[in-house]
Amino acid sequence: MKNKLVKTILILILGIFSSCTSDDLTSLNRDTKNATVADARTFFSYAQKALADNMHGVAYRATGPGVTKMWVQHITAVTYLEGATYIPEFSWAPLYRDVLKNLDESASIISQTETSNDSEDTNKLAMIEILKVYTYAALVEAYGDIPYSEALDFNNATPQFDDAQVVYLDLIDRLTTAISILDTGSAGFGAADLIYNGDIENWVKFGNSLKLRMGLRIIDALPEAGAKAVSEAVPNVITTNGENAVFEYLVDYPNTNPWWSFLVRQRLEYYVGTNTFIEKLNKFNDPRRAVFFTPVEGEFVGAEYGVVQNYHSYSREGEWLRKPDLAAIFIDKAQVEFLLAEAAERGIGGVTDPEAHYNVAIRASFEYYGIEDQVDEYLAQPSVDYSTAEGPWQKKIGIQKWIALFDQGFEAWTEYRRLGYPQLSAPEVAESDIVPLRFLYPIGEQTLNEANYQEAAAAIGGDSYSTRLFWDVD
Amino acid sequence: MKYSNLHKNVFLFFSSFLCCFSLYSQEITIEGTVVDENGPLPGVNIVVKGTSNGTITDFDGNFEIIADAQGTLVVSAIGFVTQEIPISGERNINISMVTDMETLSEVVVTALGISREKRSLGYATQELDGENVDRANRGNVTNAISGKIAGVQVRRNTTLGGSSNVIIRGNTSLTGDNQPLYVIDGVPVDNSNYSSGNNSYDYGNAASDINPDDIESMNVLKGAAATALYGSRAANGAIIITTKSGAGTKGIGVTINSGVTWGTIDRSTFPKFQQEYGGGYGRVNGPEGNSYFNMQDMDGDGELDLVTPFTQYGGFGAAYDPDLLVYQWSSVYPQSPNYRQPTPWIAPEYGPIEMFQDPLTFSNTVSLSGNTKGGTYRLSYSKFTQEGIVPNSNLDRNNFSLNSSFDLSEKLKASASANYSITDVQGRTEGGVGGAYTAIMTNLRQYWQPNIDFRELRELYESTEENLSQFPGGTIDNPFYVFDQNRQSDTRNRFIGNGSLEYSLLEWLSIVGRASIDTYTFLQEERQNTLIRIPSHYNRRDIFFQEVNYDLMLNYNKDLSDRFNISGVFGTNIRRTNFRSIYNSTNGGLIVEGLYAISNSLGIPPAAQEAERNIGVDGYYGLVSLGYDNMLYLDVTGRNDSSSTLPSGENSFFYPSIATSFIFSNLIDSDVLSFGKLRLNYAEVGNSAPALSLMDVLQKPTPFGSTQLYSVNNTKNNPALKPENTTSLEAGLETSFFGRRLGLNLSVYQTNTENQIMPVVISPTTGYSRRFVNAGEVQNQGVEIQLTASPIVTENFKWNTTVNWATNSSEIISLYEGVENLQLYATGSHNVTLNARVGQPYGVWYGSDFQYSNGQRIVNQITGVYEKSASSDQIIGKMLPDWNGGIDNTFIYSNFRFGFLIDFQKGGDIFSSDMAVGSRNGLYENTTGLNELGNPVRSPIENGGGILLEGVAPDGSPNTVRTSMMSRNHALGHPTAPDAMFIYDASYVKLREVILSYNLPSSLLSSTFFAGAEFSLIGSNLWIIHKNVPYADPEAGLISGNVQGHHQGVYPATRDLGFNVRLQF
Repeated sequence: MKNKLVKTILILILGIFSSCTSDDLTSLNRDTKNATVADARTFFSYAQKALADNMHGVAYRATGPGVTKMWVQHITAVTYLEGATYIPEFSWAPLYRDVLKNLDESASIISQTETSNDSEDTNKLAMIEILKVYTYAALVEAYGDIPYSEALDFNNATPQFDDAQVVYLDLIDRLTTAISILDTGSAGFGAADLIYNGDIENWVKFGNSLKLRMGLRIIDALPEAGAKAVSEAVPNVITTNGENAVFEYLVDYPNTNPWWSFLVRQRLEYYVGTNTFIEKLNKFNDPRRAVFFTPVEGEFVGAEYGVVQNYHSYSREGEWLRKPDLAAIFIDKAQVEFLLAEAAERGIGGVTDPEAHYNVAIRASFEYYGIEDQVDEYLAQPSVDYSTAEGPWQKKIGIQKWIALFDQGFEAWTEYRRLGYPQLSAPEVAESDIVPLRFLYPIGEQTLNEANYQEAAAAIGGDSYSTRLFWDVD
Repeated sequence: MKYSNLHKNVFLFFSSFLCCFSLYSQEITIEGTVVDENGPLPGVNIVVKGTSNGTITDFDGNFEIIADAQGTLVVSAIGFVTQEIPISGERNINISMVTDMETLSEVVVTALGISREKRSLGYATQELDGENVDRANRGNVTNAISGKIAGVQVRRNTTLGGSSNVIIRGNTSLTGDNQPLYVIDGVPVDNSNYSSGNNSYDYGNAASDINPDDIESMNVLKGAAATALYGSRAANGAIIITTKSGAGTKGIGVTINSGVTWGTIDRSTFPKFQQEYGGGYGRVNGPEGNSYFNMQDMDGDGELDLVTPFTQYGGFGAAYDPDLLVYQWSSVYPQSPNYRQPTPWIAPEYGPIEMFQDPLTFSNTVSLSGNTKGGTYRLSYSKFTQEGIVPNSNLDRNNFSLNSSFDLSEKLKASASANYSITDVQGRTEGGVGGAYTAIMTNLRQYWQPNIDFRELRELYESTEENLSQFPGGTIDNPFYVFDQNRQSDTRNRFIGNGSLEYSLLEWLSIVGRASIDTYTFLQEERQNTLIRIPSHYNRRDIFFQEVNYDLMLNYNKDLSDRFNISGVFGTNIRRTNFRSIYNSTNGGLIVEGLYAISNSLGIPPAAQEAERNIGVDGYYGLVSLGYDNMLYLDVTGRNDSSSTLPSGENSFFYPSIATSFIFSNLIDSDVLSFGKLRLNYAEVGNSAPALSLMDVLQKPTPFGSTQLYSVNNTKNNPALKPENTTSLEAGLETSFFGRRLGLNLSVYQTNTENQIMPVVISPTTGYSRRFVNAGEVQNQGVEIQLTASPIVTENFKWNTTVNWATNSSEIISLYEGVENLQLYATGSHNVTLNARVGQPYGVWYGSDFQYSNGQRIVNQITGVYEKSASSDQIIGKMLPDWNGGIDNTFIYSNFRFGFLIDFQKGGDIFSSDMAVGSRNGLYENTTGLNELGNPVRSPIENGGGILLEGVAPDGSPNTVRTSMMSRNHALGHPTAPDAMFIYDASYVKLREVILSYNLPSSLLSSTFFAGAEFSLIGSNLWIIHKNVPYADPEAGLISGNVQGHHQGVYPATRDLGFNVRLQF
């Protein structure tokens, strides 16, 4: 009896062991809750949002493009001056990892998938290419030399940095190709395209407008290449505000505009308009000031840039900027028309009549903010009128563009660096004596990719704020 | 009625004293020698029975004592059987001591629950008996080891139910888990830390479910050789816990153990806020922008009144002046008695320390144990209730346990144990900066206004229950509102149990089958009533964990000849681990306020986040242990694991170990040396990858309206991972001297961990932030010393002391190809990071450093502030200490027992964001007071204010440029000062434990139904004798894990004083 019990127990134990060992062990290591594959569209949509979030994000610290809203002195922080005084904490991870990598992933899925509609795929690839060019161009404009030919390859943890000029010219070539293969007779990403909802004609215009911008950006350094790009682009640029390349946020968090999260959701009282900017708006009686800012006791009052001040004494962001679904602008009609005005002044691309383009640009800006009824009066002022406004064309265009590019800090900062207007100076206590001419390389690269970082820093003339990038000819 | 022993002793002392005079004729002088088998024995205690009259043998074993001719001598020495020798009028007595085999053959529980004679082990272990575990450390059992075991570093968080970080012999893994394996009665138990990050709640470590009252002993296995049979999971050492059983109980034994502990804030771990200046950012307010105050007409008299700048966080406001009447924060609230009333501008009577309460802890255990025919059992119930230091926080733990074994037949023995615990916590505090800069302690230490009175703040909250902020219009919430209305809670229900059968096949061969389980559900709920920055919110995470182990072991132990013995085990282990979790949260607020349910979400709740991870390991192992003449031992082990987490076909790996011990004292004939053993071992341990690190999966962001999003994961997995490998080499010496009155245990070791499986941080220009690779090698070398001594041993008085000391130095030998540095952690708002850098110890702080000229700090000769290094990759500190240890003393006098433990750490660096930002904002005394000219430092430089920093001009001449202290961007705060300024040495010396206990003498109890009664007074963490970091406990941290030493909103520590009663029936 007892022996029987023992035997039964032993058999039971051995039974457990034999049943456990028979299954294939590695089959346990399966992620049953996360996807391994997804449609190419989902990555494209994500990349668009990530691009909008990063280029138009809000950052009181100098972590990325968001900080340029302060650097160009539209607004200033009144308490936490890290970003305003240029303390560097840059990261390009959002652009490389979140934007470019996902665009890459989308493209590689499209290329690897056999579909019945080749021209639709071609369109998708071209759209991806345009956004890649947009992103890489911003990186070059911000940093100078960047990892490019060896980037986005996890097998190479230490990609070399490529020469900024070489990269930029390659980007223009890639853009030209992408525009040329867009087929307006076919579909693209459809509703997954959060910028144009799949409208290919608008993508052609976005591509050309971007090319126009890139052509003029290098015009001083590389006149021929710049003029060629401008000439090719001019016939097919954005002509109405309806064609603007914008990313429209939604009213529900977390798909809201980053400004809203910051200013309204978190109620952070960090920013006010600067005296530099608001005094200029006041001088022009610019009705857009009531869109951009709220008055303090009936007046629009700006604060000194980059010093600790009392938030409530100054004009802060207006209701327009406090909408959860405020759109982020990649490029708009106003900027395109200012670029055309400049092309006309320079006599390139067959563009003429700078004043007409200048006026159309300002009209476009007013129209965008829904105050086009006040634009005639505005333009009629001698200080605004192109023929009577102060200074050389660089200044006339520069100042008005600076105003029109409100809330597009990165473009405003880049055009400020290129045109030299408005004239801005650094605050007294800051990490740089001048308004920075570039971003410093992200701190991580100093340790993660040290040798290439050192080489790149040397190649551009030092990893400092005062290093002029190749297109920024003094 | 009988005298207590104390009374009796006192009586006897006096009576023997009197004897010297009155009864002299009966006293004789006795001489003699004490020997053992090796010759004369020094240090032997000889006491005249029933008196305090005693002596100790000299180096030649000789003694001399005066005693009653008809008395009895009690002869005792550690390691020998105590003898009682009647004097019977003899004047010359020679005594031969007999070795006490019981103490020499001390048995310890080693890996897989195998009991071994300690003398035969070829590796270091160190044991802690239950007495040492359950007295002073009832909250988290892992804290019991602190200072008591050489080579173990324990770092505990100061929050309620916070986690403790335990590191044995250094961090061997760069990014993986470095915590030891916990095993209870052969059941490996999970010790996961569930904090979702440094800016959230610290959910503690799961080993804290263990009830300290149930612990019989804890044995710490330190090196890879000791844990080789457990394989990979114990590569960081193992803590083997044996619970109490009914064995040894006569009849039915009932024990009641009750304690209460009263905690008070250790003020040295909380900031001393400056008392001279109120809130604000300086003279930037008012219509002219040159006033400390806002100016508004508050009372309608047409004149501008002074108003505190409510939304300016910092202490750069006006100097206190009782004549100034200011409309302060509470004046804006109609609910406040100060509504529309100006109040004097003075330092608050009740500062932030008023926020805390003195927490009470109650601990009660009832246990029933006994022997019946062929069986033993122990049943216990324990309830532990602890309050936190902030309002509405408490921890409640209930443990039920059963431990039993029965002989089913002569050859078959069954045993089973079951432990069920329910742990409920509510009101954990947010760590770091909190989910949305909402962490109270961070706001208090870094962003505050010194003029706020906490009594007023509390009263205003209590009378309104509204979030009336001390910063009207600002973003920081009323802390009392947060503590009261943001009810975090969690509950963990856990079952740990096993059943085993042992069958003796032969006299020397038995087979054991064991099935064990550790499983729990863990519900974490976070509730937030509307805060200034975020709408009301609720989220919950449901976790299920289960680990099942099946072991089949063949144990053998056979004497091959008179001198040769062979023993060991062959076995197999099957382990299956299953982890599942689901996370849900509301979005955009709640529909019905106060109803914390997902369905009450105002916006559409984001999709639930699910996770499932399964791990399976099949292992085969063997141990062959050869013993020769109780003198020479050799252990050889081998284990082969097949792991589910490595690539199919390449997931099987083998690792061996060899350990020897040589008891050389058997060969040496010495009076001094009582015992001597040399140990040497070598071990390899393989380790597999974390689950799900082979295949890439996608990240699933919240859909953009109706547009679905997916994104490439930030971490690139690797389908070609190989097992990582640790090799360790250890040598040791165990000796004892003078009849075991003095003992020295020394270990030296080197551990190398190669081919580490880790997600290395890579440049985001690769498209990823991290990549899983096999790379890198970390080397740890160290020395551990354990010194035990019994300087005084008489019948009535004993003094035992143990000194533990250990040093460990780590070095990163290599990292991923071409990568010189691996970032372990970024502190967030500073460019300060924690790194593993090739050639450096594990965990070096990077940040900006001072600039030096001939060792002197360079001061900028325009601004007067310290020059900073241009880059932030300067090594400014190292995380790990140089050495640590403890001194444990026990004094036993009669039925009194007094003990104290001092533990200490030398070195290690803390980066304090609290000091960096709090100093910046002028909250502390370093921004106030008088300068060397006798002027207030806050005065303008032209008026003789400011400070003159110690340092030199770039040319090496002494600094002469004063720097202003009038605003937030000053020389002593972040970010103007180099990060190195906020690195503090983490050294400390602490009076960790003081215990005074009294046992009622058995003579007194014999007429009662009590079998034992003990009363104890217990003090824990009573005094930080020495530390360098201001205003904080150097041990405080964020969570357990590899990142330690970042102070960001750390809570103060408490001093705990407890009273405990243990009654046995």
